[in-house]
Amino acid sequence: MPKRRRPSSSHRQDFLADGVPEAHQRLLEHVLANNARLSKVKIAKLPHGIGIVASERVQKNEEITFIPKSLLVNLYDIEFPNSSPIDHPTKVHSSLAAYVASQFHAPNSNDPFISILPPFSSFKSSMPLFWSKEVLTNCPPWIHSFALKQQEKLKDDYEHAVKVHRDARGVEFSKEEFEWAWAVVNTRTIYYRPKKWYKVPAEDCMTMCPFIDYYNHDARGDESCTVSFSTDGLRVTTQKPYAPGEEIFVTYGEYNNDHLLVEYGFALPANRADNINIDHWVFSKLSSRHQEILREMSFNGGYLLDENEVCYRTMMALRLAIISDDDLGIGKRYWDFVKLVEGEMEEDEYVELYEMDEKMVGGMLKEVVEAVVKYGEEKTENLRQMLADEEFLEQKDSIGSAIERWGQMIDIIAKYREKNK
Amino acid sequence: MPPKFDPNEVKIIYLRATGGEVGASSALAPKIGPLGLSPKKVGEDIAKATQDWKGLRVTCKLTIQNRQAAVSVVPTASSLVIKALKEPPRDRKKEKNIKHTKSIPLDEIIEIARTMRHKSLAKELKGTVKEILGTAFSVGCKVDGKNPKDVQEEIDNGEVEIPEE
Repeated sequence: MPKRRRPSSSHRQDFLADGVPEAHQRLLEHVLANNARLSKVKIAKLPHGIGIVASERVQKNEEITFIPKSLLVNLYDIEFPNSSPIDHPTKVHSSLAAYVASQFHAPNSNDPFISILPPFSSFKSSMPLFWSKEVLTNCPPWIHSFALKQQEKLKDDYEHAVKVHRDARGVEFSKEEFEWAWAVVNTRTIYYRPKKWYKVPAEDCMTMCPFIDYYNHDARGDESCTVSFSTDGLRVTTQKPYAPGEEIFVTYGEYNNDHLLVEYGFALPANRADNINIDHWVFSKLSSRHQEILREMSFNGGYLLDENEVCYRTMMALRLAIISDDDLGIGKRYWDFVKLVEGEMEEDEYVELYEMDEKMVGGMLKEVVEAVVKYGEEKTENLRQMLADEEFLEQKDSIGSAIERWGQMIDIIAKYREKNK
Repeated sequence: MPPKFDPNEVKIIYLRATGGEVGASSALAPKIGPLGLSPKKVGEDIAKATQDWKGLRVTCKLTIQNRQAAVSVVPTASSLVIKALKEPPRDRKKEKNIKHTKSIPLDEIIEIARTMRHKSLAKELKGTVKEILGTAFSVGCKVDGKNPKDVQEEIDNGEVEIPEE
């Protein structure tokens, strides 16, 4: 294999399109000076933000980016106080955030990676966990409950960071700086786990990596670039050819828009992997006994509906829901359901045997879908009123995102209904 | 989990199935149902993906992401050996205790060894060929009309030459 030529300084400008702020040039120089290899790509300003485009024709299976291990920041690059892990169990997310916050806090901080990060205000408007209570209560229920969990985690992580990093090591950061850094870590870390690391616990694989977060997400896993990890660094390889100027995507994973919104603060306008979580409405049909049984069968929660169908979990939950509480645990009716779960009875056979019940399940499903639409329309109306209210003027971005998400959800249901008349 | 590119998002399940047939749900349902996929639909997908292996037991690999299952057949020594016998497809339910008594040419064994090379720990192709011959012995078939064990010995004695790659 021919030895790759390192781009000389005169070439560095080529990796930056016109109109991209100066700060990115510094990061670019920083990564290139540290043996990162870029080929045929440049950073460009696109309508939806900064992204990566092809600067010339790129073939299939071409390595377009290599970031060496020395540029990655993870658990092993952070200092910890010399104390027993029982007093201070390591929390990776918290420790990374403390590191980023302290870098930011340093009076003459010159870290090129820190300088390109978005301001806190942009996270506050894009990530549901920073939205106000009034907006969250009008969001889809899954987003609401997830955001509350994240707030809880942020609180825990802050306490941990204060105890372990500020008090024991004297690292300086304010609460606001930590919250910002926590959001940075949440939206920008990658899962760096080369094969040799198979024994490392999953959370310890959270790694900060410069440059890679310029790549935007796309849900089409088979078309966007693959990111592969080895012990010397990570590589981005194309899976299809690109024309000059075309944006190059990677895929974070096939997530629905709810997930993307709560974790990364954006939603794709056309997300192939989009679906709706309908837990809130399915649970309203289940008694506590039903839920207990479903939990034992590992069918509790995570009920999804997409353009084409409802998931099998939802069907099973509703099939149990029509069995009355008195019949649970005893009788042929219940045991036939258990047989279906365990695969001892074929689905066709079950459907034939309990034709009437299946009709009831279908009716119940219809009710659930109607409830989602009704709830969504109500909440959208509330949000619209808030948008007109001057009191919420500062939150108009977050309200706008919530309305947009409800709109997407109602669209999915409309398509679902069209296909399942 | 927030990190991007989390490989745990993709679930991989291996299972044995009879090629071209929709199997019973009992093997599938407990593994696939909780992931939100319908065992019936996946069973049909498996039958479709294993059309080339009609009537043979094959190992299938299910790659499940976001409630989409991609089915692929994992080549295994025994399925490849039995496939090489080119037996007429038969109904497994009617005919029990099938005996494989036909013979396979050694060249085909070598070809199978090449397919299985990445799985084998043998240093040379010769070692993998011997492994496949071991499988042929357990299947009960013959190689070049001889007992596979004898062929193994011939390889050891250098009477039969196996190419390097």
